[in-house]
Amino acid sequence: MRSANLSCKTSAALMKENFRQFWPLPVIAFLYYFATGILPLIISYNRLEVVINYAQQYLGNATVFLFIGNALIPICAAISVLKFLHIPSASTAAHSLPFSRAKLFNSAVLSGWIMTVVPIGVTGILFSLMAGASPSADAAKNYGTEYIAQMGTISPTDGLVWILFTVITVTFVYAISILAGVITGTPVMNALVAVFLNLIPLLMLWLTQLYLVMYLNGYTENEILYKYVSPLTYPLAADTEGSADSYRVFAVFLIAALVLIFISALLYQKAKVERVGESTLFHFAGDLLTYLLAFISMTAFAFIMTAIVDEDHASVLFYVGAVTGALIGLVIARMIVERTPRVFDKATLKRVIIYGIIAAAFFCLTAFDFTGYEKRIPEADNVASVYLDINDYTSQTGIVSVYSNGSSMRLKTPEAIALVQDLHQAEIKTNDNNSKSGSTVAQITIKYALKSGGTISRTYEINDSEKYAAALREYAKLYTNKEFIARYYGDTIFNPSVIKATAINYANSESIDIKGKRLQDLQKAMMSDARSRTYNIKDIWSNDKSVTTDKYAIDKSIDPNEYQVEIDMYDAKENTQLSVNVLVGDDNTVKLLESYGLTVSK
Amino acid sequence: MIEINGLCKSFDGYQALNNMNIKVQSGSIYGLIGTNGAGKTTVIRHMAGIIKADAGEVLFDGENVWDNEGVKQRIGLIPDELYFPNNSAPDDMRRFYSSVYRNWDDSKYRHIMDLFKLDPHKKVGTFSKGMKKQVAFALAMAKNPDYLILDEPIDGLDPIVRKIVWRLIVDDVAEKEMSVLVSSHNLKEMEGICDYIGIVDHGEMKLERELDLLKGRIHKVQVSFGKDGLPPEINDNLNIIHRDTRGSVELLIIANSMQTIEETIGSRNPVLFDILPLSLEEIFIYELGGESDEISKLIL
Repeated sequence: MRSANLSCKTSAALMKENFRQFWPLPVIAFLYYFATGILPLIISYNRLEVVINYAQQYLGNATVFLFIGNALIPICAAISVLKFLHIPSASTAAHSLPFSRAKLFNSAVLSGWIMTVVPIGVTGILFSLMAGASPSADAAKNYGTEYIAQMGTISPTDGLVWILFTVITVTFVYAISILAGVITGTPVMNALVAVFLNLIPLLMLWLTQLYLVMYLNGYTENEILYKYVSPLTYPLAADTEGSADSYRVFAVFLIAALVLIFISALLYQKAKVERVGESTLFHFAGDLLTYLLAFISMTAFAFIMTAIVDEDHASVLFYVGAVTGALIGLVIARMIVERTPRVFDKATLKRVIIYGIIAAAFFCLTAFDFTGYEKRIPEADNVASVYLDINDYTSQTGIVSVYSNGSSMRLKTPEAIALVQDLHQAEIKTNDNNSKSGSTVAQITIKYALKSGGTISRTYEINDSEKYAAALREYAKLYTNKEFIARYYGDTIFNPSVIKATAINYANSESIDIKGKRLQDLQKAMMSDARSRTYNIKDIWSNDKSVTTDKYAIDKSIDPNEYQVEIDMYDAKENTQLSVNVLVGDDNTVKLLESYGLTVSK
Repeated sequence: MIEINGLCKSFDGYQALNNMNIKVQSGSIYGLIGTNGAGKTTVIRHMAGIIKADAGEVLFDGENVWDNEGVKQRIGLIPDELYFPNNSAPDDMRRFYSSVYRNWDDSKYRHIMDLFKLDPHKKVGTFSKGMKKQVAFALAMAKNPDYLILDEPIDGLDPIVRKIVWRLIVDDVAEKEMSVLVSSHNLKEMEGICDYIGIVDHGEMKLERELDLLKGRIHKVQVSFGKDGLPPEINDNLNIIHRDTRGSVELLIIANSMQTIEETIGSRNPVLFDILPLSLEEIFIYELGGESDEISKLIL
């Protein structure tokens, strides 16, 4: 390919013509941004307290309105400017013009992009002009002084930051839509594939993790990945825009968008214009869409089948559903691509075979664990530290009585690491990936930070079935480790954001708030109680197969239901961090709470 | 001059063009004849630089048209399916083309629009098929192209407009040495317009001829020598390619020069001697060996 083919030249005449034809698009886009973003602020300019939360969400691109707008506007722009690639007569007219293909493509893409970002620029500037918005005189009376003090304002830079992030978001969506436009041959296919390709990273990530969680014992679902697959979903799943992480991530999104445009430009050079009017301009695009749709359909059918039948037949029906779904998805995809129901031919059979091989390879890598993923435990010498994320449901077991949601801690001592490895080993031996029986006691994610710089993550469940006896014993041992207790009470229960604890006696509806020095004393008392506990897990399952709750008690002296006292931890914004039950045997805690004036009753 | 050398193109395994060769001389009009699906439009799409050949080349005065802005500046195209952007008026198109084509001639555009009595400010979407074709023609001619490529240009045009269209084309060919390629499925339409005719079928050039040569070489003669019948030396010397006898009157198709025919027949004192006009179809049919030839199916 000649280098001139990929020049950056554009035609002002072509761009002007695009603006002439498609000017309603930026106008409608602006009206949309104005109506959903600026208008509420104008209406409540002197009553900022009414809209401040919405405005801040809007400026963080975290509203459904912006999700829809930022997705649809660039897709519409791409479809409009690439019409010359999707309508046969338009294609003939455009490609006979005295322009190189590069110039045609660059002019179309640039004009579409300008029409997409100009409304954002204008809206962002208007946001900056709204910086003078203020709360009303009686705002404090209606909403409370604390709310008004913390509610924030609109700063002049907010609009500019919003422009930056929104422009990158729409640029990314636009780039994907351009790629979709270059590989498809009709406006309808362009729209469908643009939506599909924008969703596909999210969908494929979700589906792949679904399979891996299902098949690989210990597989850790990486939820954080979801926010990195698209700038559309990032604000919905992550911190507010403007953080250091968001600048880095959006810089990557911008680079990705530019790469996608470059790939689209390359593909356009090779695009077969004679196929304009057909579903795709490239055969590979049709095949790719076919296999992706077959995979999605296979997954959907497989999981639907398992959901509607009893567990005994679930695995058989899973595969029946998978095969049925794959075939249906593949045939429908061919009908869409070939635009005819007459797809039952040798070519489709060939694709069925190819897809069968791909699906078999996929299942081999996941279901049969060819890579040895499930049994891998790093050597203790290679582990620098271990991060533990624990979701406890352990009040019923009596190990510790904390309702926590995603507590996280880092263990460094060899003793603690060895205990984690023992638990890991017990879980591997349990080999009960789908937890077919019992109720969940805890969910634990072990993340080894290796000395080499790498990480190994595994997520396991511990439940109350006999199968988990060994795992439960190892889990309980963790709670006797000094470092674990220090981290658990230091970093989790009394994490730095906790500024207040409220002890509640449900028996007599009495409560007290504990702050400052008293809070530190409470932490000491609770840690002291934790250190004095002994866990003696009985082999309860060997004696009685029908397990009942009270038989989980590890130490006879601990009866979680005996005290009706709960301690709730709060952060500065009055959000509950977690709740701790006071157990029989927690003498130091009980004594301290009583000294604070709380009746600790059974 | 436009040269198409060894052009090949296949669409999903179907061979649309197979080793196509065409030469359109400067200042001439070339008629590309063929039935629907013969490959005419595919040839034209290659010539306009719209699609890329699998093999072969399309040269305009030695320059390849593919991705060549300079060459495309000099091409005027009227495709079979016209395209006008939504809500555009002829004047919108004029504005766009005038900013794109270096040789754009505004006065020519207005002159042709006036000839066709078209409102340049009315939306093209409201025009009839024939009127759209007239707009396309006005726009193509106003580009002042060196090469004009027309795909079925007079479909949907009434006879008066057809006359105007051909007159304008012939004028430009004469004045500016413009090279024109016109495609049609009907040989009759090319009558009196084309200098060259090429007949394509199934993506192949079946035959290519210069019309003046053909016309000068084949003649239709009505002759009678009374009771004596046709003298044998006429039969031997004049290269009669077709003979039809009706009573004493002979209808002869002779492949020879007019002068030789006149001298040979006139010197033998015929009772009746007329040289009749030959239609293009007849010329091709007889040139190709008679009405039974399969080519006749392509041109009738």
